[in-house]
Amino acid sequence: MAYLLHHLLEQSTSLHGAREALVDKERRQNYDAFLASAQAVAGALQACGLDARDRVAVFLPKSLEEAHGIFGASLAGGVFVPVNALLRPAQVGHILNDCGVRFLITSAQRYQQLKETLDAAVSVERVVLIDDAGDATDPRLYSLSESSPAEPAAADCTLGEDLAAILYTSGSTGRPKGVMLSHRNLIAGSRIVCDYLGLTSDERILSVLPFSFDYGLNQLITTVDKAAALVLLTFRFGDEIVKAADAENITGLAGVPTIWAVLTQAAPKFKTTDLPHLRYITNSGGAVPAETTRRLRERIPHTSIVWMYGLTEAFRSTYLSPDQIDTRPTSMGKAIPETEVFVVNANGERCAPGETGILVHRGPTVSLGYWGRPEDTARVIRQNPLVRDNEGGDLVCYSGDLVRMDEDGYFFFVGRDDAMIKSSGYRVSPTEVEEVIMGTGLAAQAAVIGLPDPVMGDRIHALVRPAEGKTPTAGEILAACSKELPPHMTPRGVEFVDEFPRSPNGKVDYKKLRTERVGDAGAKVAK
Amino acid sequence: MTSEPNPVAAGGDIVGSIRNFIYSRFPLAADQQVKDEDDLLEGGIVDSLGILDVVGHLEQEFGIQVGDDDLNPENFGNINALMRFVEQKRA
Repeated sequence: MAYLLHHLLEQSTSLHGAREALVDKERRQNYDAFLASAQAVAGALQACGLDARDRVAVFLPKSLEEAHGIFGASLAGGVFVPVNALLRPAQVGHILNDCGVRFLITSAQRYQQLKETLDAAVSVERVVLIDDAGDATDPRLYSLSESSPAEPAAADCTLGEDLAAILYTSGSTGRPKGVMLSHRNLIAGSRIVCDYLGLTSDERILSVLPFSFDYGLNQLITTVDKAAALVLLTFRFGDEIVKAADAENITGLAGVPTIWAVLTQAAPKFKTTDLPHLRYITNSGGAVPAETTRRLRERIPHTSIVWMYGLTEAFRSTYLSPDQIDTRPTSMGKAIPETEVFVVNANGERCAPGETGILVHRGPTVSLGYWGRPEDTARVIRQNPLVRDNEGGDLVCYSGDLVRMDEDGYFFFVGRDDAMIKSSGYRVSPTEVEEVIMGTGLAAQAAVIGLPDPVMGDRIHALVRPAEGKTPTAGEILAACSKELPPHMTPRGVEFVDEFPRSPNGKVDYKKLRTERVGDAGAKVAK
Repeated sequence: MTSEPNPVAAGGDIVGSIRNFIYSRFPLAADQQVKDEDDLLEGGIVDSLGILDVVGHLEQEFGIQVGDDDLNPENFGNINALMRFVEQKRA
């Protein structure tokens, strides 16, 4: 019985070692080779002194080595922390310091970019390079290509309840927080998705979402769970997705709204290429506009369209059954298997159908909360309001998303009552962008909001009150943001203002800023 | 709001304008001091969202219309390719 993440890899390898597991451009690995590579990483981590529960950050582009790092850390008994390859040094540094990463797996090129950040990241003891160290002489470096580590020792003290991974995600304020997932969380997430998508070992899944995103990671895990194949792709043009899906006989593709917008609006090959093997597509990370759904239905009528909803703190919560896509195209659907989802009002009582409240999630994918932040955890991972402590109780996840349920039990997204932005599938807190703008010295004050955008979901928009005596241009502010922030966090527009609207408690009124620019529809719909 | 008309766009230095934009919006380009013929896509300097920003810039700066069929590595692969693309569109 597999109860640790890497058990899935060991199991699939022992049963189907010769089957194709990973495709990374011209490089292909079967399960035997995948496990051997992951074991080499595990051996290296143990040779470097890894103890159980040590955090191992993996900072690599989508590649075979990124997958090896994730399973290698698990095999060694460590906790893996996938870091989005697009992040700039300042955000990587935040993650390394926040959860006390002890080992970093990266490439020589990325190591060079991170040198200064690493000097300030005191917890990082060793940097495991997937390639040659070149002329770098840092004693912390350990090159996988220059060493042949011993077989890893079994980390058999680990239980399913133990921490397996930390995924960083943003909230409505502050810097990103690390969501802690147990081995059981990850395995339950895989089992549940395999169940409702009906995944089999014949699946050839296209992976374009980052492994730092829970659903991108889930694609890797479900693939291994089923001994199927995962084709890794970093795309710049929509046509690259179409070409890869065609050439690799892809059966399943997961995306975020931006990807569907690109495919239906900016990928000419999507109109001319039949994808007969494409059995299903799934969406997470924001609502897909009904018009985009309609275009997809028209273009790939044989493909099941499975739209879902989730948040990293509880993995996935709901999905819309493909047979409902034409009648309820904007619904979030119903709870995923093994899971209960309900709506509660401010008093913690169950809402009636039609009544708007907070979505609460109960089931085996409820995470362990935020690393090092017990107070934030207590706000989100709470006692089930509908079950009393002395009746056994159980922990549920409060999503912070406002939803309503219709008479038939289908959920609909209403909005959020905070300032969180959803850009291109990523959660962005205004604070993260505002800090960078303030760091330029050009602004006396800054506020960042999301404006509705057909491609990005929310387009990041910065409002700036210039500093005394300064007359910054939009170009200066944007250039500074581009330097410090990844593309999904960079504002697309800058607007100069003399003052900011305030809420009664004196804080910047984000809701009003948004309403003033997009009308009432924008106040709540921060998808 | 966001638009700042660029006098360069009127005639002269297309490549210089594109280079400035790439350097100011894609920090890896500046880090690596990419030359006009260096690949912008393979090394991850410009990602999928970045392409959309480049499109927006070209349309605004040079008054061209970028269509679906134009979105390919041949037009967007490096600074020189972008320049040729703009020239071709304006011809």
